[in-house]
Amino acid sequence: MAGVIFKKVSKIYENKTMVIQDFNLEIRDKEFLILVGPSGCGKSTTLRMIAGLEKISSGDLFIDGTKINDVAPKDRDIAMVFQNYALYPHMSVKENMAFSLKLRGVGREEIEKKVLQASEILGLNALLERKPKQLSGGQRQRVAMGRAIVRSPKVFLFDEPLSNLDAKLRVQMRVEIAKLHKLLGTTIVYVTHDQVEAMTLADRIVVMKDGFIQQIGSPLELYEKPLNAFVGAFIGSPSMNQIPAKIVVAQGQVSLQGEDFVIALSGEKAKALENHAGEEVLAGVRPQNIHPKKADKNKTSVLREVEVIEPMGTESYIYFTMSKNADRTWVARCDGMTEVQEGEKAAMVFDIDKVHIFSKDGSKRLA
Amino acid sequence: MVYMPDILLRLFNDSYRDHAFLASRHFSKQLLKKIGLGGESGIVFKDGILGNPYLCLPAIALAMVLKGAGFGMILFITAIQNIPTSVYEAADIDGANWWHKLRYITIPLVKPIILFMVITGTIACLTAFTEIYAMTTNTGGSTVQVLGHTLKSANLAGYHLYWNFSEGYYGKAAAFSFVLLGIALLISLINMKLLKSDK
Repeated sequence: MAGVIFKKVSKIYENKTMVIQDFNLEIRDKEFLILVGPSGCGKSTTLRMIAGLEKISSGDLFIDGTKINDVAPKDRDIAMVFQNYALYPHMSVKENMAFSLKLRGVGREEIEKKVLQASEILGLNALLERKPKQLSGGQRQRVAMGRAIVRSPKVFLFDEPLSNLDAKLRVQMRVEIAKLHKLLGTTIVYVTHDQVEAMTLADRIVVMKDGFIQQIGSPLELYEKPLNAFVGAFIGSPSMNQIPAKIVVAQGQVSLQGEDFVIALSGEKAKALENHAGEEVLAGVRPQNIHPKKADKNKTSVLREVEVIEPMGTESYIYFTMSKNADRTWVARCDGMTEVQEGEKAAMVFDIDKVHIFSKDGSKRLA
Repeated sequence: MVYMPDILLRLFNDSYRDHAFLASRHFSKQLLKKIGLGGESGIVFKDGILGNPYLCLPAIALAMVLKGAGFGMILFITAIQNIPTSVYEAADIDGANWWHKLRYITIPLVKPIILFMVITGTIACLTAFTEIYAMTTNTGGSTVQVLGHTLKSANLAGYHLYWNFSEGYYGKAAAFSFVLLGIALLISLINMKLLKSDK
């Protein structure tokens, strides 16, 4: 077992800045857990605390059941892949991968064997004698992973490993990391600010903001049932459209009323919001739950002018202004080419059962 | 230029005039007095360190080292600060202690600066004139001990070149300068070979 447990962990820097507050988390053995959040949310600090590169101000941290608050990084049996790869520039690929084993006094033959095994897995066999500056970004990233693999650690730590790569390579490396996890079955803690990476790789995602955990759950859980407006907006691309509204109940009909729109709710949503009549809320709709049509008399649609259409081939993004009060332009996502045209009025049909309702300040999910 | 320190000191505070570290004109006298090594005719000059053939050359070498130390320090600090922190953090996780980090990371990565310092230092030694002239001629400490031989300070490095020139042996001075150039090139090549950067 090589789980990681945080018990009431806090991190306060010398200038009294509180980065992590009362952090409780149990990372299971062999789990691929991703810490995600905007810049400055404390995700990298959390990872560095596991690595031992940051001291814990209070609370306890356990790896494999052992309290490691005061254990040196080298004795934690972890391996870390850094954002900038942190390869030793004067050493060859082989030397980079062998360095930790050499320091641990592992025999030359054993080192050779392990380096070859790792390089085989990562396709680095032809590059073993090269220096890091002779490698591409993707190859460097693979060497950094190889350096971690040779040690067969209890926990792998990845600190935004793909953020220095171009979009195409990022997709490729993402697949390789997923394969690697399946192959090695080691616990992985992975930090990223890219929610697509989080959604595609993770067994569970921890969404963080301002040093606090906002929600922990599987990618689909987070996507389908975000616990607050922040998680709703952060997970999913393009992000969730949100707008202030009011719950109105008239003649048994529960509706969502904004300054210039009314959307009738039904089913589970309506039932859940019956008791919130008159309450100010924040409504959220994901782009794929809005369907622009040429005409529709459905009560769940609103008529809006199509401002911009972005055809992407397999899908199209349609931008429109939902309300004068909305803080940004709304976007709808359609499969393939859309039937509506730029500049014309279209009926925006909502999937009512997919509308997310949060408290006015966005801190709580109501339905 | 010579009186600049005095003028500046008087501008700031007259009471600092005797402060060894602030007045270059008073520096040596005051510093040596404070550490009990006396004045002009004391331990350092005529009858002292610079008057002793065995101590004169090390004293000159020390002066040259002190003179170049600041520049070298700035280059080394800059080179060390250019090594990303994450490389040391990776080494921490890999199990390196301070010695491993110095041996396997810092020294290999500052090799270009070591090479530069060794070459410029060697050339400075081969062409040394100012320090030898200033520390021997005017004090009478004109003999030095080199590898068991007692030599006139005028036989040392760049000063020898100057002496030949000033005595009118222009051909000899020119030949000597070429010899110095040859030695400097040879030492530089050896250093470049030995300290070739792996980066």
